[in-house]
Amino acid sequence: MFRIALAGMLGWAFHSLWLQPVPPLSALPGALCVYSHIILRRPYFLVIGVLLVALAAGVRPRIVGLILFLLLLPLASLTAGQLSRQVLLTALLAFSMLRSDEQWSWRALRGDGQRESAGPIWPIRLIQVQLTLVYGVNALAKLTPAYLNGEILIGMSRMHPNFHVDLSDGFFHLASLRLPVSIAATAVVMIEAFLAVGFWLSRLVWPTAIIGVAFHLVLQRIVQIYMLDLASMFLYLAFLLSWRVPANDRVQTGQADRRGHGVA
Amino acid sequence: MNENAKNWPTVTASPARDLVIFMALFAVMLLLSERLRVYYAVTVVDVTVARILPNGRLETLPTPLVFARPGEGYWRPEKVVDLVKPQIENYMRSSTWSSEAAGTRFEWTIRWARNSTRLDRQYRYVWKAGDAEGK
Repeated sequence: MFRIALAGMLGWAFHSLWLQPVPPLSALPGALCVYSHIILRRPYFLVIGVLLVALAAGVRPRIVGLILFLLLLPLASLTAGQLSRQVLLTALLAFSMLRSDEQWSWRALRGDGQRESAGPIWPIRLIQVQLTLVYGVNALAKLTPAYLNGEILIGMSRMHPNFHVDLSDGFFHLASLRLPVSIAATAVVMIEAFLAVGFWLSRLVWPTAIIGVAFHLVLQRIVQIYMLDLASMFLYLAFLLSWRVPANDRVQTGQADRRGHGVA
Repeated sequence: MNENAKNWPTVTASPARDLVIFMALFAVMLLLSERLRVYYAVTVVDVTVARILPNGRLETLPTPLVFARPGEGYWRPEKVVDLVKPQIENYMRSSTWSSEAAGTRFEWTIRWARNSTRLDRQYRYVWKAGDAEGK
């Protein structure tokens, strides 16, 4: 299921109409020529589209995933979506290490025999770590007096055109709520820190996901984010889905087992 | 490695190779994670302009829209003047202000600060009407 969702998400997030290359890739000699004549051309996206369908259908997911990673890599250096694309490419690269064609796949449809194992759990752990890093580095970066006292948020509301609110009066207005910006800033840091940690505590996985979605919904009222919020929420699946351990593994639960060594 | 560990599924058929790949990807993710920081810093820039007539009278003018959000908060503070000045020059050359009576001056004030709304750094730039460039 994650494979199908990932293919859909990649197709959506890497849609690159009107985008142009930016450094560092575009700074390479001849890169602009390659971008304008090959990469940002319809046939290139057609190939990506076919491979995404193949990935979704579970046709040789490891090879297809790795080829897709290589084809999508240059699209991570365009004028928009660099961060979300970095996050999704990491997820794709890690997921491509798994034999994810056991269920909901062309292989399953043909009735090929069951695999012993889809592979180890560590690629999924990498995807989970990526989500933790997204929230963790942001919480750490905002742990400054200037951010916590609200100065940076006020400044950003003045300077960034994608901010929907004006915080110049020192208050954040949300419906009837009138919150001092310093409290809003502190809350942002606390929530991001919680989201970095909460998913790793098995009892808090669902509450953390709900808080994360609510957080991003409120954020959309404040600032228009290109795709990083959606890419982050997509990675919640790495914690929410069941990664069943294989039959020959030590722990046999048939349910999500976060101590397991492999996925089936 | 214990017997149980030998039965663990692997990607490359070698736990040692798996470990190397895992550590390499983990290291790359850590190195690139710095790029994922968003909305944690801002450079606030404010540009104002005043007209000083030949008789010395000073009139504050509405700041042209192109200077409403210089750099949109992303410029490095030490680059602000270098980046705003050419924009002012372009604006003055193409606007009707430059054709005003000789002796009229346009005083542009750039104020800015990093991560603060107290704009404690300032630069003044004077453009004389009829001249080709400002000072």
